[in-house]
This record gives sequence, structure tokens and C-alpha cells, in this order.
Amino acid sequence: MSVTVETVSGRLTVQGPGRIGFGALGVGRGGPADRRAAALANRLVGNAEAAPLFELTLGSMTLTTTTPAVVCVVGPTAGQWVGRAPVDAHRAQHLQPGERLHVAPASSAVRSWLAVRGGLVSTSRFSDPVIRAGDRVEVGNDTAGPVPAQDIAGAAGGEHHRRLAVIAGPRLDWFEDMAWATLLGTNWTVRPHSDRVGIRLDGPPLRRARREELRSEGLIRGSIQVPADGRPVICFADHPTTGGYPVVAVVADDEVDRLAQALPGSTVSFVARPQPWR
Amino acid sequence: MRLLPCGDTAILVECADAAGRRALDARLRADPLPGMVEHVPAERTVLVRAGRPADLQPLADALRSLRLVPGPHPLPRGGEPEVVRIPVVYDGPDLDEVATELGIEVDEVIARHAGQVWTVEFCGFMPGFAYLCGDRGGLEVSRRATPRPSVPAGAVGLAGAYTGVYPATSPGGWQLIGHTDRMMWDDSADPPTLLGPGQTVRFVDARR
Repeated sequence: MSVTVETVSGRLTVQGPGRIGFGALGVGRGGPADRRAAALANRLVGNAEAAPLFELTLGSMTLTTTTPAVVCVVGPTAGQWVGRAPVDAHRAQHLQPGERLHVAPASSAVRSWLAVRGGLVSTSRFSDPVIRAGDRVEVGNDTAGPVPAQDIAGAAGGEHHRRLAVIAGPRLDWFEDMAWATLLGTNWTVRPHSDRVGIRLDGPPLRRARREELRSEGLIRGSIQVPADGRPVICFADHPTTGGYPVVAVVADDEVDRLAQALPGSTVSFVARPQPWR
Repeated sequence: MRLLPCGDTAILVECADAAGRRALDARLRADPLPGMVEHVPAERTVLVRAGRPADLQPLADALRSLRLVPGPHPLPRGGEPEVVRIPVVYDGPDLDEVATELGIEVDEVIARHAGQVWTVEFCGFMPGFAYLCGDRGGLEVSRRATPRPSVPAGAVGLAGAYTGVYPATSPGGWQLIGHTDRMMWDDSADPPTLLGPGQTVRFVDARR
């Protein structure tokens, strides 16, 4: 079976489980911007948690199907409708052939996820297909069980301020002594042009104590790189595998995905978490 | 070898030199440590990624007790067993500039590029972009002052002590000396890239 995206505004991609084990070949992991929200959408239609699904960024979409389908929207949307009837997010919806599901974007958040029971079939192993109006997307059989009778918890929403745990980074000692205190003591503002590659922050510059070029080294989702202008960039879902700017700190893995909903102009602060090994 | 913090799912291992990094990369490729999910070699470092935060302490202990043997090192699993031969047409737009910078003739640039064995040190920048070092050297050049907005797939370039082949069209600042028709990246192949870390390569002058 397949589903057809009739209309789309903003950016619509298919996000799968991510690519683990190809970092040495220069291929980043990718995957949904908010892995928990995507897993929730999948659970709510009885899919395997990492089944490929739609990720909708700053836009709306309309979906139709030619065979009965079970779908679920997760994320802070402005609303979703089957035909003209408003339906709940975070709850499985049964879509009959010819019926349309419409998802409208929230003004206070960035992304939502739409899972289809069976999971989408991604056409590319090493990139995330961008879906355009009129595209038909095949549905697979990546289920984990029946559609659950009850909906479960909510997903991270569109708050204006986020407080995220950070762990000291590999190059903290490349910065002036004040840098750590500045990092933790500032309400950073999310800049425009933040995307799946990086969340760009504005605030007092983090000044370097060492001026030489850093040899490129490996990055992870959450690594906070500091380019020459001193303004931090948090590596996000599609970050490059290596980079040449020193990493001052790393956002904890279980918190970094909250940035999936960080609109430009919203703020971020950091609280220190101890290094988990000695 | 120095272990540096890198969040709650990874450790960044800094090696004393490129040989140390090569030895650690080869060891982890041949025999991954318990708890590690993957590793990413770079110029002087290897990023070791764990499955869970709880795996980091045993991983740190295991990394500290590693006794590394200097090369030669086993090839990547699934990689081509022998030297990969890449035919190159040496017609790049920066050939003259490279020759001038090195103070040699264009023919000598080609002779040096095609006359040594190159080894993939690491990959980065974009999927399948391999940084190769030669066993003879003699081709160290600077990057272009202004990167090109678009370098075609297959372009062969030089930067620093490295040579590389652009696997796909992208912006790029390397000095371009030629191009190849050999595909660097194949989505459906396993592994998808022709050149993984440790792979040895010879460039062959396609017009000879």
C-alpha cells in the first residue's frame, strides 16, 4: 500500500532510525529531530519505535490513501482534521480510502511527526528523502504489535525557554577561564538559520584562550562548537561527522532533542551535569 | 593517548600523532571494545561512541588498558583487499597554480600524484570524502583562498598533505588537479564508499 502527499508547505522529509556505524565513512546518523516524539508516534500506531515516518517542519500537509490506513500525528500542531472533522493529535486515526488528513502548523513550535501504521519505505539509505506535493510514499510492514487501545504520554512542546543539561566538552581548556561561567550564566537566543544541521545561538562571545587551528575531530548530536566569532552552534540531527571548531560543552543526549521545537527568538540556558566517567 | 570528555554517549581519544591515531583506528575496526557502537577517526583523534551512558566507564577503562601495535594495519572489513586503482585525467583548473606553488613543472605534479601509494587516513566533510596521505609526499599545497561554490563529482584535489576525490558535487576549497569517472559512492553497495579508512590507493594517469 501507499499514501499520497497531496499538499505540503514547509519541509517534509521521511526520517528513519538513523544510520549507525557509518560515521567513519563521513555519514552522520540523522534520524528524527526529536527521537522520543517520533517513537511515540510510531508506538501509537503499533509500529516499531524506529520505523520511518514523516517529519514536518514549519508547514502544513494533506495526506490521502487508497486503502484503509492508521495514522497518528505527534507534536504541537495547530490542529489536524480528517475531512472536515477535527481529530486529536497523539491518538491513532483510521483513514478510509479517499479521506484526507490535514495537519496545520503551530505558530509556537517547529516540527511535528506523522506515523503511518506499517512505517514508510525510505527510498534512500544514506539521505532523507524530501517529499513534495503529489509524491506517493510506499508503506511497509514495520509493526511491533496491534494499534494500542489507549494513547500514551505527550511530547515535548513549544515552550519559549529551554534549560538543557550540558557536560564539559573535549576543548573546554581552549577557552578563557570565564567561558564556562558565561556558557552557564547566559540566556542564549536561538538565531534564524537554525536547522537540522545546527542550532545557532546568540549571546556574549565565548572567547578562546588558544588561537591555533584545531585539527578536525569527531562530533556528536549536542556538541557545542564555537566558531571564530564566539557564538555557539549546537550540532543537531544532521551535523557533519567532523568539524574544526573547538567543542566547549556537549548537551546531554536525553535533552538535546528538545531543541527540535526551538523557534528563532526563543531562549536556551544550560545547567552543568557531571561527566559520566572518570 | 589522552581521553577527553565528549558528552554522555562518547569519549574523544586524542593520539600523540597520526601513527597513533592510525593504530587505534585499526585496532577498534578489527576488534571493537565492549559497549562501543562505532568510532570516527579524524586527524589526531578517534571519537568512540557508546550505546548508553552506563557503557562509558568500562569503555574508558578498556581504552586506557589498550596496548597498540604500530602498523601495518588490517584493512576495513568488507573493503577491497588490495590497492584500489583510480584512473585520473589530469586536467584540473588549478594544475598550473599547484605547479607554481611547488616550484615544479605540471608534468612533475602529475608524476608525483600518480607515482605513490596513498592511504585513506579518515573520512569527513561529506559522505564518502576520504582524506588520503601519500607515502612519498612532495605535494603539500594550500587551499584556495576562495572556495568554489560548486566542485563537480569526481574532481581530484589537493589540500595540505592530503589528496581527495569529491564523491558528489559540492562547494569546495581544494586545488583541483584532475577528475576521475570512478564512482566514489554507491548508495546500494555495502560499504557504500569505495574508500574507507585504511584503504590504499594508486592514482593512474588515464592518458598514458
